[in-house]
Amino acid sequence: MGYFSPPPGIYLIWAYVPDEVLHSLGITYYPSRYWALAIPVWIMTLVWFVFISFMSINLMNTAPFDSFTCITDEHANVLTSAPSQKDHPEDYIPELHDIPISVVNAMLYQDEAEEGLSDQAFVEAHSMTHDAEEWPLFGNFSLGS
Amino acid sequence: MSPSQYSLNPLTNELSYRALPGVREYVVHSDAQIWSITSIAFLTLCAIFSYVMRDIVYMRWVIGCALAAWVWIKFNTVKEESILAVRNVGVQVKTTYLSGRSVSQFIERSRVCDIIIHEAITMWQVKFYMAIITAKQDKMTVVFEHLLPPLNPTLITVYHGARSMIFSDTNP
Repeated sequence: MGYFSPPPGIYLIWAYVPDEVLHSLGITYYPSRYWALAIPVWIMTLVWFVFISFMSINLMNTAPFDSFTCITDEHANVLTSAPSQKDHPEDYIPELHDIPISVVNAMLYQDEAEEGLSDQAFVEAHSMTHDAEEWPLFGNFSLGS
Repeated sequence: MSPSQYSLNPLTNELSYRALPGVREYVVHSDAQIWSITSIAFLTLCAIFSYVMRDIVYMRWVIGCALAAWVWIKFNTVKEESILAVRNVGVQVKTTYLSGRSVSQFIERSRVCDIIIHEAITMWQVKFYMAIITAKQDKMTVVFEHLLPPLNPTLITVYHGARSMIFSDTNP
């Protein structure tokens, strides 16, 4: 309240006080007044540049439609068999898993013939349609290869 | 087998299919034409400009580039895209352009891991698309890549139909 820290005060004095007054005070060695305008303008442009480049970098890093990073990556903990029902306490919280894309698809766009299947049978029917070594989503997945 | 058994049957205003025992092809059309209203308006505008500014030499280059750009756009406009699923043989994904040129990719049955519907982000929205996960390839094969039809009924119909050809042993 009533106290202004030195830097803004010095900036205002340097920008606004006329040359003759500063020379009469003995202050002759200071940067050209051009910078009193140039630096704030540059900072304003920098702010807009940061907004636009942030959005652009996000768009550039978005994976294309045909990339596997849309589905999974090397940190996924993929569910290969439905969790077992043996002796757990009632408030047991099972381990977190990522559901493979085939199971998700089957759940969302389900064929009517499969509505009666149990969870175990459902996951096993849809989680693998190929050998594990050849399907890139299980085990051998590495980005950029 | 008479030709009328393999004719194109419309399902919605953009999706149609052809079917034989063990074969099913889904075709998505776009309503792009070579001589649309905007094209005719653009060409008449170019003709008017080239007559009005016939004395200005550099405008010939400008109008020439505009016409070349129009031709290039028309050559790269997609007319229809299709997926053809043949039981135990494989899947073919084809894109046909306005010029009649078509680009197709065939994936044999042993390399098809799965056919999925997934959603991904384009520049400003999330779109549903259908993709084929193929073995020994570092990316998926996107079906209907340029036209990107809506989820229902188009993608769901194609999803059930193609999967019944590839991932089941009996005729549906």
